[in-house]
Amino acid sequence: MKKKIIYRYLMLAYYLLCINGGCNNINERVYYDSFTTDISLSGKTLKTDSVMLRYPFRIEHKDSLAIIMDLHHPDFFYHAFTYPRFEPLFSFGKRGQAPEEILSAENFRLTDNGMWGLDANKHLLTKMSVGNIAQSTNEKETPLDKEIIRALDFALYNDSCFVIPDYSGKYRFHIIDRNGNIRSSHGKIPSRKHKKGNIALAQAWRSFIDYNPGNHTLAMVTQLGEVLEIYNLKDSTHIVKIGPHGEPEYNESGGMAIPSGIMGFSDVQVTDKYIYTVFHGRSFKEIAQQRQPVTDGGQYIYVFSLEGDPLYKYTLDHFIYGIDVNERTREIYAVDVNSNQPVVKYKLKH
Amino acid sequence: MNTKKIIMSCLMSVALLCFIWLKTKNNLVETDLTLLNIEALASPESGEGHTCLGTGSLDCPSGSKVAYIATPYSIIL
Repeated sequence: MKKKIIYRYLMLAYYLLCINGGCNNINERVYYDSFTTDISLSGKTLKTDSVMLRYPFRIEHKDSLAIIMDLHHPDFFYHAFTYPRFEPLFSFGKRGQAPEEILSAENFRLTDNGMWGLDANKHLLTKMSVGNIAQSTNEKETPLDKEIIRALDFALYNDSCFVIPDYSGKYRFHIIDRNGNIRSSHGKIPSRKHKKGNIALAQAWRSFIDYNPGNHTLAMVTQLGEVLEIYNLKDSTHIVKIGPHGEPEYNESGGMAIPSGIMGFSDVQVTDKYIYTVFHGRSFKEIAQQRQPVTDGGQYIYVFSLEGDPLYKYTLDHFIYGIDVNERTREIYAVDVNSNQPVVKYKLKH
Repeated sequence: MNTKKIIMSCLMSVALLCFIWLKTKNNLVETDLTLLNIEALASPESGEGHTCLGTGSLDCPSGSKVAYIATPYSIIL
């Protein structure tokens, strides 16, 4: 009799724990190992002979203007082209240490009347006007809050605020205002292996981000490992999707993260219907043991639903870094750092 | 007897060719890793606890974008 009572109490306790866990579990973590559809894509290389790009990393278009950001160009970080023909227009964003010059470019975002560019080494967001002819000028500089430590990516939250990933390890991202001050901080790094939130963990979990204000979806993809996070900034839901290569791997040395494991994602774009990502998936050992000339970039575009369901896996004929998705024309423009003609156009097949 | 000599000669020739092929294969192959080791010895961009090498997209704590970040004296990750 006693045993029966104890057993019933234990079952009740277990049941209550399960319910409690379910009610509090707005953070959903699911592992994925495959996609609904695998598709091979062949691209068309566009001729951009007159502009030599060294390391084209980001590409974005708005209306009839496209900008490519080059991480390692000796003179200019940004290069303007016509869209969609990619005829060269002009280069801007001079590399240098002078007041109006750029030390390092991490990412840029086009707006209706110009663009914002992030300089991590100057700890600065700069608004630039970008006309169709020849020139671009700096309109506004926004120094970032020192508590951000180091800003490695950003997205436009609304007309006056930005989303920036956290570098301290205490949070996942910040919303900052037009003066560069932190307005609010959100989330935590969803690591199961490392519970201590420090700079090394944040470095290992360094993520590329994109935000779509139309559906309030913020997507974050890790540069190491294979983790996609989806935050809905309206209803505060958080989805974590972990692929076969798992969470970022690293060793800590001198308080810094030394990457190990694999190179993961290199770009993400949130549209009205899908989340597009560029995935590499090669280990650093494999990359280092390549014979010359080495190949740099990712060969895959992974397409997820806004809920993180893995839908389409595109295997490309080029190794790319950044993408610009145009769902209206069903095209993706990608940049290939391995080629002297780096712009490649792909047709979507889903 | 002559047949045996011919067969032995052929076998020894094959063995010699295999030996030469294996020797060639095991010679230092120019890989990215080899060149990076040379670069690291020549002019490493390093700080406390790390060495940054090459041209890439990894964020080196010193502020540049590199292909590899390793602990000092260790290129293999």
